[in-house]
Amino acid sequence: MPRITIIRGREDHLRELGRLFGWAGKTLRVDLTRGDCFTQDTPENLLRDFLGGAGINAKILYDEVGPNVDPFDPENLLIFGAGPLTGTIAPSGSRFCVTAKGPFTFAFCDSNSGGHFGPELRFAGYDHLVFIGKSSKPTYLWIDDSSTELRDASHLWGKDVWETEEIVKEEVGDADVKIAAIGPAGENLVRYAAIINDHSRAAGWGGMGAVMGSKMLKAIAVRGTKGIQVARPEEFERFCIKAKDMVLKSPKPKTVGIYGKPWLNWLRNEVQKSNPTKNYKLPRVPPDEFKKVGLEAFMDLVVKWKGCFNCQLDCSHILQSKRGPYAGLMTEGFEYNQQIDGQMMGTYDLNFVLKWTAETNRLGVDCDGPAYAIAWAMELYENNMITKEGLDGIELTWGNQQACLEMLGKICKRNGNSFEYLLGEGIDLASRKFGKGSEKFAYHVKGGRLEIDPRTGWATALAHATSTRGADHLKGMPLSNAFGVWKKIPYEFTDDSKPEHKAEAVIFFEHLNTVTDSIGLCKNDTWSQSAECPGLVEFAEMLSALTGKDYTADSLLRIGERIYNVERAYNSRCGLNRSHDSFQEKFFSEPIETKMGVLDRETFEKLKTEYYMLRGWEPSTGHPTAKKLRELGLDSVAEDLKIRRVIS
Amino acid sequence: MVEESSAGYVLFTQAKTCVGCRTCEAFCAYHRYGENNPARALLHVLKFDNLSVDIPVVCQHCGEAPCIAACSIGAISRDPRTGAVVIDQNACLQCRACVPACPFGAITIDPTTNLISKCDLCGGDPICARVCPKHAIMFTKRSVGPRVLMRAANEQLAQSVEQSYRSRVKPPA
Repeated sequence: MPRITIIRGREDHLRELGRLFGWAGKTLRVDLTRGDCFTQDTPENLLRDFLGGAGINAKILYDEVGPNVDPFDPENLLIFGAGPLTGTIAPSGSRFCVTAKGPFTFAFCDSNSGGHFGPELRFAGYDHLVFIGKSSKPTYLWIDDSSTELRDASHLWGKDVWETEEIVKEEVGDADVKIAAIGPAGENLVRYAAIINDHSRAAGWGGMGAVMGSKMLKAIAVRGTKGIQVARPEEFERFCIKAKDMVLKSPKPKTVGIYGKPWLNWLRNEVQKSNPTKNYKLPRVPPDEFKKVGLEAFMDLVVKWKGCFNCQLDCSHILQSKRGPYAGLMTEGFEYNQQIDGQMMGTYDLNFVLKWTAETNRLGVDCDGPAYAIAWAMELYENNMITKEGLDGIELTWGNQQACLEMLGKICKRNGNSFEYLLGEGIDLASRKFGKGSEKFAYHVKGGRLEIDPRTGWATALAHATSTRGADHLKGMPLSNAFGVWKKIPYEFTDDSKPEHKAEAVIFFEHLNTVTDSIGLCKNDTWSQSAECPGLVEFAEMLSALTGKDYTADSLLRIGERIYNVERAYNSRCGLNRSHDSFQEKFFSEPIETKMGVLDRETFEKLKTEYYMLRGWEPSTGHPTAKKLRELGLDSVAEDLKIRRVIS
Repeated sequence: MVEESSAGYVLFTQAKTCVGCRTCEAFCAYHRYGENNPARALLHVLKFDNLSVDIPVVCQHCGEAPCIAACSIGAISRDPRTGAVVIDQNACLQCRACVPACPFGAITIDPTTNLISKCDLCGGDPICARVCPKHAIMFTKRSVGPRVLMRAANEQLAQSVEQSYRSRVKPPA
C-alpha cells in the first residue's frame, strides 16, 4: 500500500497564475513509523472541489484508507483539517475537523472542534495535517511555523490532558502555544476517546483520540506567526463585519449566548417533551426533577462566559460548583450533551454534570461514550444481569454519582475487570459481546450512541439514521428554519410530527452542515442553528473575497453534496447499507408523549426511500449510484465502487 | 485599568468579562496589516486555562510613560490629537530598550517585520473596542469607564440587598 497515493484527477497547478489566497495551501504529512514530516502542496483540485476542513479530509480518507484497514492499524490515517475561513476575521472562524476510519463505526468518521488550535495551525501555514503509521515510542509533534519536530513523549504517556499541556508548554518555552492532546482513554484505545484542545474543547465524537493513541501520538503543539492572505482585503472585512453584525442581531445572543447549549435541554425537555433519561427508560426528565437541571440551576453555576476564536456568540461558560461534594470545582463547561449524560445515568444534579465534564476532558474521552456505556450497564444491573461482585464492589444503581465517576476512571484507564474493559468498547460491541438480549437497550446507530430520541420527529429520526458518522444530530438534523428561507416556503423546524418535506430538509441540512464544517465556521452562529445568522449567501461572499474565486450559495451546496456523497461512498465501500440506517426496536414500538409518539416503521422506511431517491442513490441498498457520483465529478469514486462490486 | 487620552476618552479592559475569544487580536492585526494574523496584534489576551482566567493586555498610554523615558533617541511621543503614545518608526533604532521598560509588557516585536510595535489607538477609534462581543475592552468617556467597573463589582451586593427587602414581605394568609 503506497504511503502517499497519487491523487487521481486533474491537478491544476495554478500557482503560475498567482498566489493562493485564503488557503495556506499546505498539508503536513507525518509518517510516525519513519519519524519524519514533509510539507505537501495541497492539490489544487482538492481545494477547488472539496473546500477544506471536513471536505478535503473526507476525500483524503477515501483515496488513502481502504475498507480492509482496521481503525487501529498504522495504515489508518488521522487527518486534521481546518477550513479556509479558520483563523480569519469571519465570525466563529475557529473550527477544525478530525477524520479517520472510526473505531466504533468501522467506517467513515469525523469530529469537529473549536477553541484556538485550528486557527493556530493555519497561522503556522497548514490547512491539513495527515498522520500515518505508528511511532515506536510515545511522541508529540511540535510545529513552530515551518519548523516541525517529533519529540519524545515517553514522560507524558499515562498523564492526563491537563498535566500534559502544562509540561509541553514548559518544554517548548511558550505558554501561548496551542495544544491538542489525548489522555489515558486515547492511550488505552477506548473506542470513544477524544482529542482535547485548548484545555477544555474537544473533538469528542468518533474515537479520534483512540486512533491518535494507536499511533502513539500523545499531543500536537503549534505556534504560528504567518498571516492568512486575503485576495480582496477591504471587501472581506466588510463582509465579515456584516456577518458579525448578523450574529449579534439574531436571537442567538439572548438564548444560547446567555444560557449556552443548556438552553437546548430546556427546549427539548419542556417544549418538545423528548430528552433521553435513564437509558431511555424515561422519555424525559420528570417535571418534578427538572428544576434541579433547568436554566435557573444552570445560571447558578455561571462565573462568566467563554468563547472560541473570533466568536461573537461565545456560548460556553466558566462554571463553578458552589455546594456538595464537588464544591469549588471551576472549569469550562458544558454542552447539552453532558446534561444528557447526567440524565442518562439517572442523576439530576448539575454539579455532577460539571464534575463529569472536568473528568472527561482531563481523561481525554467523549463525555457521551462512557455515560451511555454506564447507563446500559445500569440497566443490566437493575435486571440482575450483572452484579456488584461482577463490578468489583461498585453498586451501579441509577443516579449513584460516586459509582459513575469510579466506573469512568476504570473505563479510561482500563485498569478494571473484563466487564469494565468491555464498556470501553462502546455499547454496540459491548452489547453484542455480552449478549443475553442486552443489544435491545444499547441505543446507537452504526456504533455511535444515540443522543436524541428519534420519536421526537421525522426529520430527527431520518437525520440520525442517515448520518454518515453514526447517530449524530450535527450532520443533518434541522435545527433552524434556514431550509424555509432557502426554499422560500413556510417552515418551522420544531414542527417535526409529519414526514412530508422532511427528506428534502434533512438533505439540505446535511449539505449546509458539511459546507460549514469544510470552511471552518461554527454551526452555533450560522444558518445551521439560526436562520437569522450568516448563511450560504454570506459564506459565499466571504469566501469569494478571501480566495478571489467565485462562490455562490448554490455552488457551495453543490460542493456539500459532493462531500457528503464521498462520505456515504466510503461507508458503502466498508459494507454499510440501507439496513444500517435504522434504530433499535424500542423506538418503533413504545410511544412517548411527543406529537409523533412512536416511529411508524412503514412510514420510516418510505421516508428513507424518498431520501435515497431524492439523493439519486439506489433505494434498495442506500448506495450512491454511479450516475450521481459522475454527475458530481466523482468518476474515480464511481469506478472504485464498481470495481469492488459495491454498485453496478 | 484606566488610561488617559486628551480626547477625553479612555481605553480600559475588564479581565472578569473577557471570554478569551481574541476577536480583538484578530481585528487589530487585520485592521493594521490587512492580513489574518493575531500574532501581529498590538494587544494580547493572556490565557490561564487551568485558572479559567483570560486577561486582555493592551498599552495603557500611560500619563507618565516609562517607554518614552526609556527611549534614548526620542522616538516615542504622545499624539496630541488622540492622546496615544506612539512610536516614530523613522526615528526608532530598534534597540528594544522600551520593551522591558513597559510594566505591562505591551510593546511587541512584530514577527513579520521585526519592528518594535505598539498600540496607537488606531488613530483615535480603536477597533478592538468596536468588535469585542462582551465589551471587555471599552473606549469610553473618562468618567464613565470606572463607573462601569464599579457597577459590575457591586452587582452581587445589589442582589443581596434586594433579597433582604423581599424577605420582609409576608406571604398572603
